[in-house]
Amino acid sequence: MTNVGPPAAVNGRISIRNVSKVYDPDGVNVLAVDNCSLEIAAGEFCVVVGPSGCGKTTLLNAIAGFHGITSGIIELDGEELCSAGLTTEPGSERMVVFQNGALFPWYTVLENITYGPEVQGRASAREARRAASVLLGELGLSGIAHRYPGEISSGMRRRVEIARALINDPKVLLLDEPFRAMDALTKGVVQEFLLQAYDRVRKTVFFITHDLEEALFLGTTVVIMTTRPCRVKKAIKVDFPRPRSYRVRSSQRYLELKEEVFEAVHEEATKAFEAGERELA
Amino acid sequence: MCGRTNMSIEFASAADRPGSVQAEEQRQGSVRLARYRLVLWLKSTTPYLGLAGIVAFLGAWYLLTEVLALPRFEKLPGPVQVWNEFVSRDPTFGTSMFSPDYYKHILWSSWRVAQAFFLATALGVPLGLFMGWKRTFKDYAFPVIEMLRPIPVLAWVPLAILMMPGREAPIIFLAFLAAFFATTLNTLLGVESIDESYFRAARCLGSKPRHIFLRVVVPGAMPHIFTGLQIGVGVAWFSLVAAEMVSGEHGLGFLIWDSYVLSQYPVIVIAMVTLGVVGYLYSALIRLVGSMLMRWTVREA
Repeated sequence: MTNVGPPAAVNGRISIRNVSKVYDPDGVNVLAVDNCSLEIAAGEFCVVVGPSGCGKTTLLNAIAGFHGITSGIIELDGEELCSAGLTTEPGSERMVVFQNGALFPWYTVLENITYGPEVQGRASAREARRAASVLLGELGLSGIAHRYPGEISSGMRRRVEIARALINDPKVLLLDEPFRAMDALTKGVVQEFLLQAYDRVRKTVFFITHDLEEALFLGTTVVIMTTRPCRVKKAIKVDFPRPRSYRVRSSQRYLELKEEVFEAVHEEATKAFEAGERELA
Repeated sequence: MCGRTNMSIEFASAADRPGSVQAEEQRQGSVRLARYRLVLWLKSTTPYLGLAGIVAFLGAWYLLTEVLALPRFEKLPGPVQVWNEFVSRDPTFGTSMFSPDYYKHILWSSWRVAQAFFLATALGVPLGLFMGWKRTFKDYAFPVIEMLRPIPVLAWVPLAILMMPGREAPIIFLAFLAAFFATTLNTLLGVESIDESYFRAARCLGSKPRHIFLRVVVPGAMPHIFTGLQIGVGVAWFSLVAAEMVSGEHGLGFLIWDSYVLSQYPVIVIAMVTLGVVGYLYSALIRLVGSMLMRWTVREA
C-alpha cells in the first residue's frame, strides 16, 4: 500500500449516451441494449451489475471496439469512439481483461507482458523486458516470470493478465467478470491485487460482475442494469475511503449499501427469471 | 520506456539475472520429475504386462510356423528363421544386417519419404494457415480439397505415372499427396480451434495483422500442425510402400515385393519389421521437434 495519494487521472472519461444495440440472430431482432446512458469520470472505478445476459458485455465490447452499436454514441475523453456508423478498432488505450483469461499459453509470463510494448513499437525487445521485469517485481510476480500460463494458478494468471494490461498504460481498463470462476479465497486475494494496482495507477475501470460483494468492495460507483434490454436502473456511490482493505466488509455502512444494491438487483433478476431469458453470459 | 507512462517503471540492470537462476532450477525440477515418473512406471505392472504380450505373440508365431507348421502357415517364415537370416554374415537370400543392399533399400525409402514429407509440409502448412486466417480464401480453396481428399491415394497411381516424368517422381508424388491432405487439414483445424479471445486480446494489445499471424495464428495452430505432421508421415510411408511395390527398383516396398516374387520369404518379414522401426523413428523425430518448438505444452503436462 502506498502512503502517497495516487496520481489523479487526467484522462479516461467515458460517456455513453443513448446507446442501443440490436442483434439479429436468425432474422429475429433482439434488443440487447436500449437507450442506455452512463457517464464514467476519469479515474472512476465503475462496477456494472445486472442479470445474466442483460447486455453488460455488449456495452463493454462496444467500448473495446469488438463490435459496433445500432444508435447512440460512446465517447472517450470527448472523442467519438463508437456510433451508428463508426467502430474504433481495439487499441492499447482500452485494455480488456477477459472472462476466461486470454494470456497466450505459448508465451511465458514475461513474454506475455512484453507483447504489447513490442508490437506497438514503443520499446525494443530489450527495453520491454527490462520494464516488464520491474513491473513484475513491483507487483510481486517476479518468481513466475519464466513460467508458462499453464503452469501457474488461475489467481496468478489473472494477476499477470492485469499486469499485461497495465504495462501499456491504458486510459481505460475493461474487465468482464474476470474473477468469475475462482474460489472465494483466491478471489479475495486477486481483488486486493486489483485494488492495489488501481490505487497505484488510478485508471478508469469498467468492471462487470454478478457478485454484489465484489462490486461493493471494489467500486467507486456500482451501476445496476435492468434486465434485457439493458438500461441503467440505479447508480450507487460507494464512499469507502481508499486504500481499502477487506475490513470494509464488516462495517455498518457496507451492510446498508449491500441491502440497497441487493434489493435493486433482486428485482431485476426476478424479472429476468420470469421472462425466462436464456442466459447469454 | 515511454513518455506517457505514470507508473514508476525504470530500468534495472539486475532484473535479468534471477531469470537464468530460475530457469536452471526449473530444469533440475523437471529432470527430478522425469526420474520419479520412470521409477513409478517400473514399479507398476504396465511394462511387464506389455512384455508378456509381446512374448506371447512371438511364441504363437513360432508355434504356428516352425513347431506345428499348420497348413496355411507352413510356408510362412518363423521368427527364428527370420532372426537367423537377419544376423547371418552369409545370408541364404542375400539380405541381412551385414549386407550393404539392406541399408541401400532403407536409404532409398527414407530419402523418398523425406522429400515427400518436406514438400507436404512446405505446401500444406502455409496453405492450411492461410485458409484458417482468411475466410474468403478458405471458401475458395476448401471445396477443391474436400473433393480430392477422399480419393484413395492408390487410385492416383496411373495419373501419377502419366503426369510425372521418370520412375522417381510418381513414387514421391503419391507419398506427398497422402501427407499433404493430412497436414493441410490439421493445420486448418488448428487455426480454427484458436479461441477468439486470443485474437481479441492481440488486437487490444495493438497488434498489426502480421503480428496476429506470426504471434497468434502460428503458435496457436502449432499443436494441431504437429498432429498433422505425425499423421502425414505415417500415411506417406503407407503410400510409399504401395508405390514402390507397383513401380520401383529400390526401397523397402520393392524389397518386399521382389522377395515375394523370388520366394525369399524371410526377407519379406525383415523388410516389414524394418518399415515398422524406421516409421517409428520418423514419428519420434517429429514428436521431438514438436516438443522443442512447443515447450509450453510439455511443461503443462
